[in-house]
Amino acid sequence: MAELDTSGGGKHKGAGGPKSKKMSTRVDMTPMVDLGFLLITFFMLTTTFNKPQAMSQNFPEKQDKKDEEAVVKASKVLQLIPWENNKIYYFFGTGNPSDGPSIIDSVDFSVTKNIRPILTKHLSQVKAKFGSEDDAIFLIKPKDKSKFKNYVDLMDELNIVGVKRLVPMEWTPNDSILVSNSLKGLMAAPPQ
Amino acid sequence: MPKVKVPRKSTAMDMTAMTDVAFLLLTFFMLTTKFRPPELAPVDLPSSRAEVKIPDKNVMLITCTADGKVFFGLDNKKVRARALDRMEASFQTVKFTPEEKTGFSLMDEFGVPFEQLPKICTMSNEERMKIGQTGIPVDSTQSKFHRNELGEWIYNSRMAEAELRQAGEIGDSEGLFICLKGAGSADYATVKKIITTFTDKKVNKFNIITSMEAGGVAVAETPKH
Repeated sequence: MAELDTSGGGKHKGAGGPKSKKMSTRVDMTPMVDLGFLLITFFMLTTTFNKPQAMSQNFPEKQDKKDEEAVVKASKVLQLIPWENNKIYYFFGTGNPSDGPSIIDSVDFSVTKNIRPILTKHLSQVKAKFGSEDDAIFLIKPKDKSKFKNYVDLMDELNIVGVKRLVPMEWTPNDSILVSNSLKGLMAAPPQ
Repeated sequence: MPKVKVPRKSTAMDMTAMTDVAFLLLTFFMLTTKFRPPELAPVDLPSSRAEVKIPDKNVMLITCTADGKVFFGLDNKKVRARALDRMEASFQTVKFTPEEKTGFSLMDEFGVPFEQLPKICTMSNEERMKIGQTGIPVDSTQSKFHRNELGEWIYNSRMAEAELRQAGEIGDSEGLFICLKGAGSADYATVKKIITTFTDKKVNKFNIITSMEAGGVAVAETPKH
């Protein structure tokens, strides 16, 4: 077995040996702290705590047969047409010329506050007439040239006011007539 | 009058405790930070006040850029590999070597028509960013195979996920969480094509990824008149 030499260095370290200078064991920590906080700052700024959120969408099942389409009362319906240049056109009812004139109007989308009164107005009208806000039906028919942002904004507004029944749809030639009449400053009236 | 001696104190502080705290925090941030990989298709997200959280795993991501290109991504490597096998069997004419398949299973997102896919599988991430991917055909007229390729990807990925789930290979999951990440400035026409593809493939529930909007009455812009 090996034995540890514990005698302490032997004769060299005698009483008259050179005195080693006693160094302080304290180290100046300031630069280290600096570095530490610099890195913390970096990681704090690059960390993304907030993940993007998602908005869930429920689409009605695709129907192959025309006759399965539900028939609803025109007075329950508000139709919304996101248009180009942040505009959105809307009208109540079917918009069919045979059902009498529809008043079509547009608001600017860049202020989302604009659209909310229209939605709440429709909800309260339906509530007055049919007893429940849940009966209100919103048809969304975005124009192809409208921006996806507008669609999301509109969906968001509909979610906020608590709309239960909304149907994204294709828009019909009749809708484009309504809008183009509105662009010309006319009310959409039944053709004579 | 005797002078009052003010004892001089050293301004040097003991920094040890501070260092401890600093490095503790540093370690925390280093371990929790996940560096976001550079995005293949960067988009300007529309904002909303919706608050559905996106799960960490089993996400299918369909991206639509501002210029109407469509990208497809799956985050589960097993599902990815299986979906590719199914696609290969379905399209038949395009064949993949084992290396290309491995390359594909490491690819988070891609946006090329199916016949070009083998080529980009073996590329490095940087090369893939550089070549400028043209997007996945969303209707049959754009596809060399006259099929809605995005629809095929969606269908085969969901089938692949269901098969793996039944085989018990991917643990518990409730099916793929389908996300649509569209650029706010994208035309609705492109988005409509994607949504139509969804409903064609019986995906009636999906999620639109949005950035968070400040709470309360959010009015950021003033109308331009």
